[in-house]
Amino acid sequence: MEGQQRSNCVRLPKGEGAEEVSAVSETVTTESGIPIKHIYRPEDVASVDYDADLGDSGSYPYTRGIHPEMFRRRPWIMRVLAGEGTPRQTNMRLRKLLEAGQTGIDVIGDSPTMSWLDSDHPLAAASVGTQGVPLCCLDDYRELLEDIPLDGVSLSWSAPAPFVVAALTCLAEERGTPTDAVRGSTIVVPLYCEDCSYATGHPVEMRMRLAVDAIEFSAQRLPNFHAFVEDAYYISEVGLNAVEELALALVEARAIIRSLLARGVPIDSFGHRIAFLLTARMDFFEEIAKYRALRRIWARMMREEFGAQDPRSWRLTITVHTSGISLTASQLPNNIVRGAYEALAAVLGGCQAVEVCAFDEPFRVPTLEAATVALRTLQIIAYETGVTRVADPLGGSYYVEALTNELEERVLALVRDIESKGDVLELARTGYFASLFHRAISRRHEALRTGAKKVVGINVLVMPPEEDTLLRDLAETKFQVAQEQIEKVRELRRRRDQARVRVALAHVASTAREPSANLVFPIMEALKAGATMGEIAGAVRTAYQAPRSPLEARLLAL
Amino acid sequence: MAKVLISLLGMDQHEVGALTVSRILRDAGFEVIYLGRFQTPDSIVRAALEEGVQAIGISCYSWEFRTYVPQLLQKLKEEGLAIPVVVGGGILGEEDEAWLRAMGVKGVFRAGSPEGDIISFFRELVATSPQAGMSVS
Repeated sequence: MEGQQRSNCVRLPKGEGAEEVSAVSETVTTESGIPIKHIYRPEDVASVDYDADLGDSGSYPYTRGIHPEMFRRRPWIMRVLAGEGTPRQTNMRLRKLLEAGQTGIDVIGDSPTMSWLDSDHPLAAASVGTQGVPLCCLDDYRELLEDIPLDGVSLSWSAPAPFVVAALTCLAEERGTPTDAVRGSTIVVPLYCEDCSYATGHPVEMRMRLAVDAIEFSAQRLPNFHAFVEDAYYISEVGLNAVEELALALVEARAIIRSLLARGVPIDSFGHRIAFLLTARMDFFEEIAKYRALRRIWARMMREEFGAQDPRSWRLTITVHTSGISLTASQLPNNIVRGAYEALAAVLGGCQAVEVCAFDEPFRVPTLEAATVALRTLQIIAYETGVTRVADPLGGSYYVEALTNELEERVLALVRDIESKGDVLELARTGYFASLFHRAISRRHEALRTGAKKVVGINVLVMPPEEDTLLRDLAETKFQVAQEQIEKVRELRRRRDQARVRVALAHVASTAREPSANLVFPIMEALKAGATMGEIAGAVRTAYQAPRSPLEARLLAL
Repeated sequence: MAKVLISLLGMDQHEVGALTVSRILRDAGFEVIYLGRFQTPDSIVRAALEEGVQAIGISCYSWEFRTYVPQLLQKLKEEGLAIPVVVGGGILGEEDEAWLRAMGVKGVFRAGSPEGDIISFFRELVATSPQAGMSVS
């Protein structure tokens, strides 16, 4: 019978130029290596129990979505990345994006900020404000958020978490905004930051401590802020596949949860404030299945393993940033198409916030023009395609359900495998995770080199450089290092009350020596006194037997 | 064996390109000194001298090359070193390439540069490069 054919033989319709294409010799797989049949049938999902494994959207285990009505209730949060020049310049950008209909803001710190370095540090001099916005003192946050309401707009941050939550709380106090009205999120990246893009040079215990402090503080003071965004995006950017992405994200999130529980923070006080930041690759169905599988894994893990009782702790908020590494520096307009497919996968996968990587990002942080196209991509999906009408429109697809099951199984197996290797802090210290990332880099390069992975404009359908000019002028525009920011921080150091700063930093250092005390409170006091992030981090480092100077700390960590 | 150094500059932490190029060169038979992140012109020149490399490859995924590459060339000149410098990175545009070449950078590899071109360029470069550490004058 036709439908029972089981080979990997694909028949194209007969006609001009048509031929039989045989793929029998090679196994077809997803990007993560899951073998794929040419068609899926009822028996492939025979093991699925609708109520136990899927449930309606809004019902345990939330495979089909965390809200009953999903996008009919409200569309996902739409935002694009912003951060360039000074905090004031970025503030102008944020306002323009809000005027253009963005419903959340997403700020990224510049490279010194992501490494917890002040703008006036010598090593920062060539990069201040060029790949994000500098955020090293309370004034930076004040200027960045001027005239932007702290309530009403979701404020999402890729920046050092304890400083984000401390500064937002200071600002809410200054403005008289109730802290429970502050919405948004910040990433925490304790385990993998040294191996990928956010290296700080801090000992792993200190990184874990600060992550836990930010989350515990927020559970008390910023109850509607997600201070626990498990960020698997930046690690995926080295070339991880979907299984590795989820497994490593779960390993880190589980380590943080265990640390919070060990400190006596109840699971349901923070469980509902955990979100995952994931990528969206070009492997369309695998990515959709990935979001669905993760929600199911999460719900069961929180309820059965960690004993969460509040259904809100079982429902995982997923935020997605489309893949930067999937974009190409050649044929830039193609990146707009890639962003659209990837964003659509995130929407069909039921994610709560989606951000599209702008077409010029292979060259720079987005120009306003490219950021606007990225935002419009999301708005076109929301307003024109009709995909918001139904929750989990691909639920019940034999293929998507089989893929969801397979991903779940492989991810859980990898989590078990990694955790069986020992204490995860020790694994981070000894370079185990770094070796996984290096392996992924090599694997991706090899796949592109051999053509096993095809990317238009890279290894297929390459265009001569002289013809490849569309949008290039825009992408190659540059701006200068934010020199005035460096001056501003120097001026801050001159005019502040030095005695007050010394006292505040001493308090940070003494609090750091008490492992169960929360550092965010003294960090707030130090920021108010005019201390900088670099100074505060230095004070914390001294309690962890690490050098006060960030440069020395970094060299030791290398 | 031909010995080359691969490094990033300043706060640039995007290591994918640098590690990939290091692997390509290593597999092509070069001895690669991978200096990695958080390097400055001073630290690169120091390592180049200590290791006696025949070429310096700078991988960039940030605009810091605009500050540091001129400083690196100046520093090499001050030390009397004729080690050729090659700069590569997906963020480099046409104008950047012209600017770097005019300054004395021997090779510029932008996005999409074929692996074979990179290997043959480095082979040619080390074949004609004076022994590292030797004075130009």
